[in-house]
Amino acid sequence: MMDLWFSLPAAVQDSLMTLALVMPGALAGLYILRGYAPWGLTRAILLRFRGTVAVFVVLIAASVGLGIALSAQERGLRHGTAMAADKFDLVVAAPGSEITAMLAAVYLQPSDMGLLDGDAYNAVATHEKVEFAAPLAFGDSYNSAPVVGTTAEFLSYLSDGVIVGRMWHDSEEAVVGALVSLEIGDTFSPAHGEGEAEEEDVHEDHHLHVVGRMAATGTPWDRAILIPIEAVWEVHGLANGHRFGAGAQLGAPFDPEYFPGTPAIVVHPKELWASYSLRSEFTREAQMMAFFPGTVLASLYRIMGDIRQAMSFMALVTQILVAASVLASLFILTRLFSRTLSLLRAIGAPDRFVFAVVWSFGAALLVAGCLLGLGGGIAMAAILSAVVTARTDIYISATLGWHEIHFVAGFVSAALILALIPARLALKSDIVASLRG
Amino acid sequence: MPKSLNLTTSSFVVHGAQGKPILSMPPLSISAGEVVGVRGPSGAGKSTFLYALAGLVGGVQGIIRWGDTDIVALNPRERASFRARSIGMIFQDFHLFEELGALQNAGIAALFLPRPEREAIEARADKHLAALGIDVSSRTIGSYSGGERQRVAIARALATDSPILLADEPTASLDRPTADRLTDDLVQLVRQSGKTLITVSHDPHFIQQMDRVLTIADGALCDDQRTQ
Repeated sequence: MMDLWFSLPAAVQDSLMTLALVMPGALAGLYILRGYAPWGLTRAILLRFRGTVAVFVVLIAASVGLGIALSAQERGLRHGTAMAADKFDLVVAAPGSEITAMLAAVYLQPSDMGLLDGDAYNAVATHEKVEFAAPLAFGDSYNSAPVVGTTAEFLSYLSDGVIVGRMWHDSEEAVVGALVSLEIGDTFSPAHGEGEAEEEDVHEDHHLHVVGRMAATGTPWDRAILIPIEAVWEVHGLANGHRFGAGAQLGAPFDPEYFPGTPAIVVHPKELWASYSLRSEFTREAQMMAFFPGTVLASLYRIMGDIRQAMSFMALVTQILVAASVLASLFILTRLFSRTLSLLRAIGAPDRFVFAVVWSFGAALLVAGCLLGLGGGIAMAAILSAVVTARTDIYISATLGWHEIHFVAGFVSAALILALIPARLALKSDIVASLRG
Repeated sequence: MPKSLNLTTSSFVVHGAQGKPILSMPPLSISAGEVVGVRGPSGAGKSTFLYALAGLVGGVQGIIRWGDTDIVALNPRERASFRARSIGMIFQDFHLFEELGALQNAGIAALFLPRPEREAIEARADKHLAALGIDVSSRTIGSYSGGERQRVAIARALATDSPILLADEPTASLDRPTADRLTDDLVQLVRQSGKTLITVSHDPHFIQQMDRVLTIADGALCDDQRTQ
């Protein structure tokens, strides 16, 4: 049986799961409503108490919507951060925190990092299994946009070769990310440091010309200004990685003797399977460490996963509380139309019909609230995604997933069954006393 | 024509919430098709008598038999089923659904009676509304006058073609001319259809038109008078 289940496509499994979650509530509804047509009456009662009904629907919708938005957002964030790290197969940095190195190299977050020397770089770059090894140099900025020194090879790889304008030809040219406010043809002088540590006048004698713009990558690199790494070193008065007399050479190979150091090297192996052996080989105590950003992210997600579970649990508890208050209010509301229910019983309506009217009233509120919550949740997630994307430059797309659909299906089903309670209680009232008001 | 049901009761007692007797009636016999008024001072037990006949009050000791059915001996589900098919109820406060139209209100039983009967119920509701002079338009019941509302309630009581009509102060919420017109129309309809009508009323004009008048005071029958 389990073999059959696991042999099914994921979408079929998810659809069946949704069906299984909805089934208890739907079956309860079918059983209660069989042979009756209470909806005309239910609609009349909904209309009579439309103000109160609207408040309940909004309350349920807000609770469901928040749950959905949080869940979709968290998944979107994981997906977005993973996508941003996609091009960074293997990163080599000076020994230290992998998380710090990953945040700096992949997400361009300013941080103090040790430098890898020319020998270390050379060992990485000349390895037979390495397609290319791109040194990165951080630390400068322009109008809050980080200025990153690297190689043309890495830039092409990062942008999939899509550049409007052209690649740099000398160390005074720059290619900007898709969201940088500079235009092709503009000239700028990078400031030393980033963020609050920015010092504007330090590099004012160095002018860089924008010659190209990368296609959007959906990563923080969209807001970065990329320049040849030689330019970064030259601006700081260091050797430019090449022996004197090498002319205006840009990019690899670099001469270890004239290599000023790099905080991180992005390694692209010739074959994917080679990554693991490269990681082992480039992890050398006291000299350098190599890590997969994807693995570091996965360990972060594990921590986030625990938080997510706690958040999901809290969202669920909140939803149960909201459902309980709605059901309690539903019971109070049924007192408002107890005369109506008593009239039905007085003229001979079976208890199951009266039960069906009260239940369908509750069901209408809950289903409407959940559907509205579903729409609201998607809208809230989209807004949150836009805000997070604007703040981090990591493209976050929070879409409705099976997790949210299962969540709503389970909630609706449970609520439809819980709605049986006020319906049962509504039948307890004395008919004559209610009719006399 | 609905099946006629004679009412025969043993002496019966209705007990209140504290178990004290609130109504004590001697044996009664009301023939099918009789038009009976019940009068007496407020709080005398008239409505309790009416609701006991409908099987709507608990704590009844004795026999209340409609045809062959002792409504006291039935369980709540059976009583509801008996009312649905045999008793039409009319109340002082109409008890209509404000957001529904006249036809939907009059045909409300179609929502819970078996599907094959629904069409007939709606057709009868339509016919009785027309006979009572009610314009079946798209208006909701909220826009009807008091007299019109009570006519819709009467049409509702007649829509299931019940042989018995039980009315509790049907004209008490209406002005004099409206009450008089409604009384005339209701009595005429009942007489034409051969149904049994038992109505509680303080209205002398209504009582005047009854075949028989029961007077209840202090929870007991003190007079049973035939007027015609």
